[in-house]
Amino acid sequence: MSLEIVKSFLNAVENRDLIQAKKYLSPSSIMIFPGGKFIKDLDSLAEWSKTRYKFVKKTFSTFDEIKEGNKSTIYSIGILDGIMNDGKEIKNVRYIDRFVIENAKIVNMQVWNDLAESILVDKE
Amino acid sequence: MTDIVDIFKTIIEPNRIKVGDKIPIKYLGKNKSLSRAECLLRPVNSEEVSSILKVCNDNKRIVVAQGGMSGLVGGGDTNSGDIIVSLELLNTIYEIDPVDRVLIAGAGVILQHAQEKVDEIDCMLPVDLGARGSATLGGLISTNAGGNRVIRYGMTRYSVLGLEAVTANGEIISSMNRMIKNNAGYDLKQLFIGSEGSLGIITKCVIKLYPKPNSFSTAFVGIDNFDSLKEFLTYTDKELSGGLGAFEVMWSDYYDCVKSNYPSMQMPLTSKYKYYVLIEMLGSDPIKDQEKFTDALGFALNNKLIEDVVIAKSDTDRKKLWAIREDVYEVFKKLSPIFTYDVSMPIKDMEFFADETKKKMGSMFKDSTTLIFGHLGDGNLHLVVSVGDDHDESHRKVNNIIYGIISDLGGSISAEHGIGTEKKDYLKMTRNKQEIDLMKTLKRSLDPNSILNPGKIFD
Repeated sequence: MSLEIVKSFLNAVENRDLIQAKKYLSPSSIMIFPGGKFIKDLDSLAEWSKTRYKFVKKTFSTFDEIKEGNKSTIYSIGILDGIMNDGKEIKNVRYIDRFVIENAKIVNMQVWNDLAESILVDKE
Repeated sequence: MTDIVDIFKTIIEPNRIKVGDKIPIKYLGKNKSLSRAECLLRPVNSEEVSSILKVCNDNKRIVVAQGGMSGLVGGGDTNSGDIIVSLELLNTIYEIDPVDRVLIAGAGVILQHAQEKVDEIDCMLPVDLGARGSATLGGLISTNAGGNRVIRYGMTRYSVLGLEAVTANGEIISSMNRMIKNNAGYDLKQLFIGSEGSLGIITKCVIKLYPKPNSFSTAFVGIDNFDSLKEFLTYTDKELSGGLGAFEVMWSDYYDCVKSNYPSMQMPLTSKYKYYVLIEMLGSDPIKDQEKFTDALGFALNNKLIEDVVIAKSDTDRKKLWAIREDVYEVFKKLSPIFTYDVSMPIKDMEFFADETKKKMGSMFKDSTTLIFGHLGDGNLHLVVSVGDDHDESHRKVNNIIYGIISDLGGSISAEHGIGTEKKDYLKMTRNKQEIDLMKTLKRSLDPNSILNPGKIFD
């Protein structure tokens, strides 16, 4: 159930169907992105994303689920591909998303990836 | 007649005495261009300090005690003919007790050195401030310094369990209590804490230590109105269960000034807000504390107490966030000449104070810059003011504006820096006649010849 919620949420975000994606989020959900950046809602996420990349696509590799009472923690592991705003290609960049699900809603989402590291390596 | 320097040579080794123009400029304080003290003495223990003071008292010679010279109000300033007693060689750490959690050290121990030694036994010295690399324990105590952790641990006064001081007649008062509870009569150490070397010279101290926090959760926050700022402080203070370790607020002018004058500084928030907060939680469980911290920030964001937030992901990140608040010397240099202020007031009055100050500065000066920042959780704000010159007349005008508003609000003209020479003319705006009279009575009682740092705090 929790795993389906996460997959559906990720698919909706990727399809830019924010109305559908919002249905999976608790009103008090917390989203923290790389750089420790808090995003208060999906509209803000869309705005913030625009300042960074033209598009990014996730390829899901693994989903791990840990259940604890009525709470589930799900890790989505995979790679990112896309194009940054400066035209630089994003290719095979690792990511991990962590979701906490309570009462069939995402209450906490944290995102880590190697995007910054890949840019640094390109500069070296 | 024997030269007093010759007498000092019988008390301390001659190589620890510098006379006249041989005194390095760093010991002369802000009056360095006006005059030189007669001599600089660098004793190594309390007995030498005692002997020096006996001689000075007998000869009615003025003594200025000095620590790391990081004070900001001229408490260590000297005048022609003064005898400087630098405590810098009283730099022994005698004991660090991890069970009683106390540090016993000489007055000349540098704060950062003490912090590092205490850190080795997983304890923490509660006092911390930007000048940690030069400020000495004796200086911190004699000025009752504040700093970055007052919201959690209080001013320096709260951490001093005991001390040893030498009075004007050379008597060594050893009050080296190391217990938290000791109600046996007057708490004499309080006479010497915050009295800026005017009642005695502190030579040793006993400082209370705390368990070293295992986790530091730090974030930088953007907020758009003062009511939300107050609510955010109240909320986090409660929600973090006493773990709030810093709540540093920067008005937007400050943030913008750092951003535009310091291109190498990494600014965490790109959008413009009216207030920026550096908030830090100290705790003992890195995982649970971080979760509690992010939950609290998430709640604040979702409930519109705050507009934007970035958390530090590493200790390097944390240092970068603190740099925006601490490492801004270059920015101030670009604005110089500047006048700096350290004031306190009820938190509810801070918005009015800031607005009124800027309004009056704008009316009085054609081109002025007023940067406001500080330890909001402690009711303490700092101001950096630039009016294009550092003439006495301009300084007096700015003082009158700022201290006038502070006086009307019932605040203090000195939150944590002391009075020294810089603020003594304004002491009456923050202390009533009876208070100042009692201060003078204490001074006369302990130092009848007025040899200890006279002309500081009051005339």
